[in-house]
Amino acid sequence: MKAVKILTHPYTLIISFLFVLISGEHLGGFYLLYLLLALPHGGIHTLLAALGIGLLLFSYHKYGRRATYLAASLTNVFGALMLVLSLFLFFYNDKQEYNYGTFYQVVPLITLILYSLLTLCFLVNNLLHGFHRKPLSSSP
Amino acid sequence: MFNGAITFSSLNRGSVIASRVTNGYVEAFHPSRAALRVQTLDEYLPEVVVVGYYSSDGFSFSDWLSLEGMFSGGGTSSGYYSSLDYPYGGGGGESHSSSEQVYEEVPQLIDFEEGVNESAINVENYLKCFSTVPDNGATCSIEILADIPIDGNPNEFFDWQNGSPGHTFLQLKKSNGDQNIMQNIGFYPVSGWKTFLTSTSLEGKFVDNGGHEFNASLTMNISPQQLQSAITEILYLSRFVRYDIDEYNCTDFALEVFNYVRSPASAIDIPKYDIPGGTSPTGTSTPEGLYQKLQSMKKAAGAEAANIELPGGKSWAAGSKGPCN
Repeated sequence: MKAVKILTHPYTLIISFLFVLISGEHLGGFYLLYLLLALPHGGIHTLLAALGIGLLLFSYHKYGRRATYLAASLTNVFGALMLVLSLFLFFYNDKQEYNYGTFYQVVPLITLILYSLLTLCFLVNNLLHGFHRKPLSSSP
Repeated sequence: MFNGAITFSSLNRGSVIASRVTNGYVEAFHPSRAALRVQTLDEYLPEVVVVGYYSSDGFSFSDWLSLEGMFSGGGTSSGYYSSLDYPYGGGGGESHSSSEQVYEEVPQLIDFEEGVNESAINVENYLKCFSTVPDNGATCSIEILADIPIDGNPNEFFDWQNGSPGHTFLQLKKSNGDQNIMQNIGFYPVSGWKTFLTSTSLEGKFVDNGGHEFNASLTMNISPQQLQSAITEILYLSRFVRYDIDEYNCTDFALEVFNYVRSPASAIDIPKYDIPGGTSPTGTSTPEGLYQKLQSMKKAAGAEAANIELPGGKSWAAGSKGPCN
């Protein structure tokens, strides 16, 4: 259970997201660098990443990990989807396919797959807790 | 009546509508089957009329001729479907006096670049092609091309959208009679993701840059002997050079070869910059530095100004010959 808690922790998801390795033709690095590079220009992938991380942190610090609130699960799901959308748009808007080396070089691909698996675990965990909540024990 | 499928695409080739066609009507335009039945009356032309086909090998000019015939009763000798495009008269076949002003729209340039194939090439096989053209009477040239990250802004180190720092590459040409060989060669790291994780040099690779975009270039006409010395220098470097984003990158490689065939006095010396995260004490060679140098040479209107191409926005290098065995 401890492993599941770590795998589905929002911090784990955020860290795996920021540390996805991007491989460009000449340059590469963690996705965090690309977000910071686009931050002054208001890049859509940066805005979505900021929004997603903000939602995940808000949910974690407001509701904790009890996930007894539907709102908590929904916030988490939306936050995780924002991160996915950020990464998707980063590659989709790369019309020159400058960073497509990420998809066929082993190490960057591993970080991408790891992030994808963690996102899947996070989403499944939140959907399960959000929509199949155990009834609260009734007080005597 | 045509039955099949139709795809509408936007100018960047994104699919907008994909639909089945039934009796000449696009089903996507008629969500209701009843509406489709009403419109397929004989007095209406269908939405899809097929007037010709082209094979996967390319279009046949006879198709264009047939198409032209529908509008103007004749074809075009050049295969350019002028009367179909003609803005007046609703079709071709009309005569227009020479004094009649013909409206011409400003050409719209569509920036669509195919994904660059960045797989490593065997440089030796590429350069071997030049030996197939005899030296006697041959005209040769070497060209250095700079692709800056943001078109029209040579002061930006990176394209913030994809992190690209731009690129510099070489184009070698040799012509003799009807024999023409051209190769575009650029230098890259094998694993781009390692560049920000380590300050040491990385394994490099050479890539065919045929079709690569560029924003500035300098051509130098050289003798076959000078071309051979440039080839020898590339082969020599290719045996040991390693890629280092701030110490020895694509611009350093291209400049080293380009300057090798120039006299030391006329060597191209570009401004160097401290790039973010760079550790080179003398600064780093960049495509922007090369662009600025070529721009200043062009403005100075010196002896080589005519050989400098600054296409305004950008242009694309022609395709390479490829490897020779």
